[in-house]
Amino acid sequence: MYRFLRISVVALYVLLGLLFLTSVVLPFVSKGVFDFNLANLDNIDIQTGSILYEVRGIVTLTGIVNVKWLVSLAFVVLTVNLVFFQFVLIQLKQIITDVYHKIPFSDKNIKRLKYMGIAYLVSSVVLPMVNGSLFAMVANTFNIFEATVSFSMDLQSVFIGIIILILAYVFEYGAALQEDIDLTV
Amino acid sequence: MAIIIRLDRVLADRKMQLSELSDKVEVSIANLSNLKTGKVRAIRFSTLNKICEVLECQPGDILEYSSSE
Repeated sequence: MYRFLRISVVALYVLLGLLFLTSVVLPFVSKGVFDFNLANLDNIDIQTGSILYEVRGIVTLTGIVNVKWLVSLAFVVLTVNLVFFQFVLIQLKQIITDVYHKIPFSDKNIKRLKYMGIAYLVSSVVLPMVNGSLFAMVANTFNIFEATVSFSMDLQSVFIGIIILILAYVFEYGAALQEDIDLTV
Repeated sequence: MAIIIRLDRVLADRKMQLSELSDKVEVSIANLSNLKTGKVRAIRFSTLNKICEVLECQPGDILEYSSSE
């Protein structure tokens, strides 16, 4: 479990590095490279949550659309998602390290749990907004269908965040008990 | 705190080293030294019992209450 997390963290760092490099290089790439021929488009699959939308019947479309900004936004959206995921993963890895070393009720662990809970609460608002903006841009760029994007909180993330925060307070109590036991002869 | 540990005085009376007490009471020297310097928050009855047994004294000889603080 710990090794898997460690490898994941390293892999995500590599991925984030690549994303960063791409986003640095992207503005200098000429616009012509991003010309996209709509005739090549058969169908668009859009997944929001657990629902997969398959937009078909657009074979008749012709014309050339420039997707430079869409690709740029896609990279930004990916980076934001990955940064959140990486943050949670790092906290989790460090908590597991502490549990492995038999100091689960350390002050650092309480802080990590609180950070994780707050990260989930923030992500419940930010991630749907960021991901929704990408969806809106896809709809606008290809101009194939009308789409209204409404931003709402991700309730699942809110629940996870609250549960993690409650756990943090449970750990805080545990840490106080641990200190009492440690100072008893 | 107003409770003072007089372990060092009793040990001096009995001419016993802390390490010797540690062996007999089966509590680590580090913990006993913390107890002696008053760095602990609580003492178990079982530990107090063993210390009194080894040092042949009363809990009152080891613990002292002082109202001045």
